[in-house]
Amino acid sequence: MNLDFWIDPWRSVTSIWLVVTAAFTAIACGLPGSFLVLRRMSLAGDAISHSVLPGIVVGFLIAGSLDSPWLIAGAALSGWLTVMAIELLHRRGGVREDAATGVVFTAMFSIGVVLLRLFASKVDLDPDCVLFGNLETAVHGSQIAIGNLAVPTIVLLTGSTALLAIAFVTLLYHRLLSTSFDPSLAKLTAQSPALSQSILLAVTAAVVVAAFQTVGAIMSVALLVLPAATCLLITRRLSHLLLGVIIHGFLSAIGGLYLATWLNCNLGASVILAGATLFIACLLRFKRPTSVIKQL
Amino acid sequence: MTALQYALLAALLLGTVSGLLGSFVVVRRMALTGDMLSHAVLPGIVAGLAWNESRNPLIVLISAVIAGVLGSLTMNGLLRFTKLKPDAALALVLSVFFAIGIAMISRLQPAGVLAFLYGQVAAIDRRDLVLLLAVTLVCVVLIPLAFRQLCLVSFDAAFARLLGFPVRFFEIAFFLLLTIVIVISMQAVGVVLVTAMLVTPAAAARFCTHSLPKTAAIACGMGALGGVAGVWISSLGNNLPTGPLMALATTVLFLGAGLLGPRRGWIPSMLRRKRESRRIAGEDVLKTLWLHEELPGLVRPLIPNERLLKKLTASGWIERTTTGVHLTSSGHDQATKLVRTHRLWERYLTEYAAYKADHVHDEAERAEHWIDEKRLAELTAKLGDPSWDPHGKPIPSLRKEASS
Repeated sequence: MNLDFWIDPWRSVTSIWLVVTAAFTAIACGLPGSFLVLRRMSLAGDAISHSVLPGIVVGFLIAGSLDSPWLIAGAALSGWLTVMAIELLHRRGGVREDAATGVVFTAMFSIGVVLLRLFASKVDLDPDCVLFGNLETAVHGSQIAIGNLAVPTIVLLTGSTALLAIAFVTLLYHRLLSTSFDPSLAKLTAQSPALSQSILLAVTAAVVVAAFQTVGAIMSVALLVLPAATCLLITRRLSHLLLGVIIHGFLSAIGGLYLATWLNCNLGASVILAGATLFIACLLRFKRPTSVIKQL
Repeated sequence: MTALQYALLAALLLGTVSGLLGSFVVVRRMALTGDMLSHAVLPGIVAGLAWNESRNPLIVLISAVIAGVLGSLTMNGLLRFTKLKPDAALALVLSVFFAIGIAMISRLQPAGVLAFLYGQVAAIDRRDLVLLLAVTLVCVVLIPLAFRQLCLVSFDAAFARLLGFPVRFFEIAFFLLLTIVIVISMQAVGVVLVTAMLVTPAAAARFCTHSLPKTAAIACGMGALGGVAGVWISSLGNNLPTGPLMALATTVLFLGAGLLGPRRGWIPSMLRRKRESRRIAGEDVLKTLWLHEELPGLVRPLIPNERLLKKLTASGWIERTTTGVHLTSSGHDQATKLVRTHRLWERYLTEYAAYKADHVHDEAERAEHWIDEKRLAELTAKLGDPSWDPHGKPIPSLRKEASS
């Protein structure tokens, strides 16, 4: 491979926007995702990523455009409803948690697809978005001029979601820390674990909406889980973990661009494959010392 | 056959076979493993479609199964070599394998892959139907034959191994069968909703019955009904997606079972609870009256509940005169039994369970309503028919026993 391969992708403005969008999406998803992993709620993230669809469609019908707060509100509401329905079936109905999750998220997803088809003429939402988003088309969408620069709307959308996620973890750092690791202590110090869980789920739903257009519902699960899983191989400190998640997001966005140019494939998928490569590299490089001691 | 008949037949077979396998998936708590498998087979499907132009379903199936095996091996490896929790490992394998599949799709652009992503019952042709029929027949014949073994392996693998069952063989066979059914039903309902066809009918059946054979039978029926209803509804309107409607029809059945299911449905359990609490309240009235006869004045006065008293009068256990409420002779017998059970249980707790005498009353207050005739006889035999309870009160004997 020559030098041109490494430099070429950076010659066009579009690819810079692509990387920026991918990195923003990865960071936005990775930060709340790390708390999902720590709380053993990754599968709630999976369920939410599918079940925000009806909320998005209804929000779209109300607002009429893809980048409005109604979408986020609708998605957060349907994500929250999903988790409540799972809890209700599990606690009251005696349905096991995994079965309840399977029943509820598929039902919500079906409602979303049916709504999408029924209002196909009014909802200008690419059905492909549902399963795999398309970063390229998203970046070529509408643009907003800031000064002399024409910034694609998607960059602003994912950027503000990333800011939301960063604000979420910095403002609620101590609350999230205590409620994730020691719910009873958190309760004693008047920090309700249930409240921070609800906030976490709502933020997850919001970031999933941003990821919807760029990587799609299913691969957003990878963006939620992969960064935290990678960083947990290296560190056990929450602050380091969150920092690592941000770095992982940037690296997998850049790696994804190269991978997509090299393989000539979907950018969203290659961002995730780059992230998975980082995971494998960390797995091979950083064997946790504790596990060695256990083996001895 | 017309296209609709094809679709209906496919939905019927699919619902049956996924309901059957799904009941094992649900009792083994593998619902989300099924979800993981349905995403992990995608790279295999894409490879299979890209490599053979004629779209031979058997080749697609084989490469999909290979991908599924790789996915679950990866999952096992993650659990073994990292400290990731099962939920995170599952989500990781699911989404990364799916990403590999999407990358392959965007590069290879194989024909016919959209049917697997979004599900198209209409895309199921004669060859697919033959394959589906074969798989359904194999499942419907093999699973009932090996039902006992499969139950044992599902519920208590260690015990099955002790009995000398080929547990590993059963696990692998079940896993392969599950992957095959997942791949086939993906063509009809799409990658996401495979989980609905597997899990929802079986979860609905769990509301209705306790026994696994009945669960499997009901799940088959519900899956078939939901699938057929979904295809039928989607044929009514134009541009209605079939897969989501099949899933939604099954979900409606699930909600119906959740409301009306005899085992754990909402309405039957509510009625059962109501009936039990009414029985207990009635028994408490009888007992209070009995205790009042034993030691007048020492007992809390009754809080009258008109409906309850009417019901007890109708049962012939109490009679109401101008002076108040009295036990009839059959009511007296009933109350004697309750008091006897209460005091015997107190005696049992102090003698056999090392309870202090002042701690046994509340326990006995609950137990007296749940100990039936047989247990009472056992209790009497075990304690040697004592005549005093730990508080020094006499244990009344039943009149029938006394007379016989």
